[in-house]
Formats: sequence, structure tokens, C-alpha cells
Amino acid sequence: MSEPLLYVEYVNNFVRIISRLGDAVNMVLLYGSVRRNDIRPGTSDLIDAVVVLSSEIFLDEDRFCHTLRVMTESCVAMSSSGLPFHPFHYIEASTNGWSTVPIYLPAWTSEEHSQVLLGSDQRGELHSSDTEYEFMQGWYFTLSHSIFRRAASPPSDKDKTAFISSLIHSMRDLPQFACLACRHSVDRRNAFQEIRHILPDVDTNMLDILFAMTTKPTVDLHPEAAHNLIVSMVTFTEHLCQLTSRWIQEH
Amino acid sequence: MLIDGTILRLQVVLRENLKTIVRFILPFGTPKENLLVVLQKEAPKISTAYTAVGIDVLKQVNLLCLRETDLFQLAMPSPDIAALSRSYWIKYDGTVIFGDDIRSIIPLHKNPHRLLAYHYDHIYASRHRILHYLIQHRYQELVVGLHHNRLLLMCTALLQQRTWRVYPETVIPQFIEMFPDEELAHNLRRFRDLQGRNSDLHPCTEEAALKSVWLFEGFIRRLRELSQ
Repeated sequence: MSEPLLYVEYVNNFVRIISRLGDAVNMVLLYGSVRRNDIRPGTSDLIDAVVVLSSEIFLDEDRFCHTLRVMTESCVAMSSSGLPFHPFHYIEASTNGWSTVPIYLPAWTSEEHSQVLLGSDQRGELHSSDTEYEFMQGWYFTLSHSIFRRAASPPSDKDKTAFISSLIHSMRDLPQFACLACRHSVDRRNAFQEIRHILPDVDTNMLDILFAMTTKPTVDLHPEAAHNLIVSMVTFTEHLCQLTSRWIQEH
Repeated sequence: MLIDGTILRLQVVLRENLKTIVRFILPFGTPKENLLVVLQKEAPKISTAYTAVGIDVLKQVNLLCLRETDLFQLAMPSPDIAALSRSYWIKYDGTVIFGDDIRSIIPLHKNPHRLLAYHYDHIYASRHRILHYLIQHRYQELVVGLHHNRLLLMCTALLQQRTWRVYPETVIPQFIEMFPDEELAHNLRRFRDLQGRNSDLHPCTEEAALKSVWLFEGFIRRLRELSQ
């Protein structure tokens, strides 16, 4: 079986296990690379999903614990696949709909980026308490400063490639977080374009480099080239932080 | 000694760009020791402050460097929940250890009643971590983590009423005084009993871990009802 088909097989098995919960589950939503048919074997996470649970589950201790056990069982099955895996989200559906932080709204509410695998379509009922995007603004600045902290001491030459790889992992979210901090709701991939419209002074060359680096594994670089790249990444983070801060103060 | 050395290094590297350094604590932060480094608005880079201090110091002191024009960021909520009350600790409890006293212009969050709603959304978006602990059978860590998260939730509930001087040793009595509710008190007692049963001789079981998740959810639900 090819690896993309293996991903699909494990997702189908996940749905089979979760469906045992019956009416405890209002909806299972798939998003991410499996939904987009953009699976990069060995790199793509096995599943990006959110399970929306009936609010009644949260009122009955036995049913709640049973639900947690079944969800854990589905995770154990997926984690044994050997594919990159992290547990899925689960959220309570209340009378006011279901609520989360704004970062998930673009993917979880979009027909293009998400797909209902089980239950009824409740994407229209998703909202966030952070209507002014101030939590996202705080999150964006926290992320930027965490990058400054990590880059505070340059790694040794032999560790530079691994260091760049982990830095890219943090920085791949920066454009989307910057968009959300500027109150533009957009998913991670489209953010690399959208941020150019919101902040016209952004370093587009570095944005292109960063996008390219998020889509392929980090290659071994000559120590001097690696050092220059790290400096460029921190400078880019700093400049983007300054532009975003100015945007917030002007709007 | 560590702080003195850090201040010297910042002075040498940042020179005329350095405006102020304020030392403050965050009782629920890791590490608890914090430095706010404020640069002049014309300062070309803020990342220089982190490089000047170095990673060894940053493991022991939480440094935050901002230009004076960016101080508004201090009042912003973020997933760093332990820092939600940060601007209060700087403004009313911080010590200026270098430069101008800028504490009077430190902003506070304008609508603290919103902070609890943000905190709930953050918890809802983080529940997958519970599954992570369960599949790895890390039950004791899960119980400890939920306890810590419950204390942070109490802090945010208190902050909503602008009560910010809260410590790990005082948060529970302060919370009970502000939210005198029998259901919450019962929930807290059950959780404490659950914690008390875990020991080296009786390690935490899956059943106890699931119950702790149930109690955590019940605590959130009741607090949400009371604070609406």
C-alpha cells in the first residue's frame, strides 16, 4: 500500500472507532494535508481533526470517561502507525455553538480546507471569544520573542542544520499569526501571500525563502551559510514584529 | 549576582538605546524572576538584548525586551497564561533597577472580564494534550498538570475582578472567598482527595486520571456559569 493510501486507511479506522460513540459525537471534522490531498509521506501529520462532542457528555461522568477512553483508543491505534502523529482536538458543542481561538477558524470553517467525516455539518456554529483578535496579537508577540530567545546563542557548526530546522518549525506560523494579529483571518498557507497585502513593506524575498523551506526538509549548509541564514531569519522576525506592532497601533 | 551581571552586560551592549530595566516576579511563571528591558523608540533592534544576555541567563531569568513605543504589548493576553497579570506585577510591584521610572505608563488590560473567555477558548483548544498524556499512560503528570491549570484558571477569574496579587499558596482561599459556591467547593474537595490517594505506593491509575479530567471539566463548566 502506498503511503498516502496508508494515511487514508488510518483516518478511516479512526472514524470507525469514533463512530462507536454514537450520538455522543456531533461531528468529526478533518482538515490539514490529508483533507487537501497534499500528503507528504513522513512529514505530514497522520491526522488533523476535531471531534465535536455533544454537551450532554459533559454532564454525565460515566459517559464522559467512556468517551475519553474510546478517543484514547483511537489515538493509540494511530500512534502505532509509525507515521507522524499528534492527538486530535475535541470540543464541546454548547447551545451557543462551539468556541475556540481564532487560529483554527480559517481551516475549521472552510469548505475548501475541511471536510465533515461524521455527523452533521456544524462548521457554521464555530466562533471565538477573541472577536477583536487581541489574544492573537498577544500570541503573535509571544511567538516572536520566543524566536529571539532561542536564537540568543548561536549553535555549534555541527548543530546548525538541526537548529535551522527547529527555527523554521516555529517561524512557519509567523505569517499567519501576523495576519491574525492584523485582524485578517487566513490559514497558514495563504498567509504567505496575504501578509504582503497587509504589510507592503515586509521582506518578500525572505518570505519566499521561508515558504520554500517549510515545504521541504532542511539541507546541510556550509557553516557560514547556515550562520547567515539564522541571522536573516532573526532579522526577518524582528522586522515583521515591528511592522505588525505599527499596524496595530495605527488601526 | 546574576541580575547584576546581566544589567552590566545590557548596559555595555545596548548603551544609549537602553532606557529602563524593571525587575519583577510572576508567582506562577517559570522562571519566577523577570526583567523588563525597555529600549528607546529609535533603537534599531530588540533581539540584541537577548543575544547580549545569552541562553544560560535566559534559562534562569525571563527577559522581555520592548521599545518604549511597544509597551502596549504588556497588557495583551496570550497563551502564556501565567503572564496574564504581568502588567500589574510590573506596574505595582516592579523595581526599577536601571534608568527612568516608566511604571506609571505601563498599560493594564482595559476589559479584564474578557480574559476568562479567552482563557476558556485556550483550554478548549488545548484538550488534545490530555489525550497525549492518556495514550502515553502519563497519568500522574496529567493530574499534576490539570491541578496547575486549575490554579491558573482561578488566577484569571480573580484577575477579572482586578485581584492580581495572587500566589500559589494563597490562590485557593482567595478564589473561594470570591466565588463562595458549594458546587465549586465540592469539586475542589474531590480533586484534593484524588490527589491525596496518589503516592509512590499507590501510583495514579487510568481511572483516577480520567476522573481528574472529568473534575477539571466540571470546574470550568461551573465557573463559566457563575461568571456569565
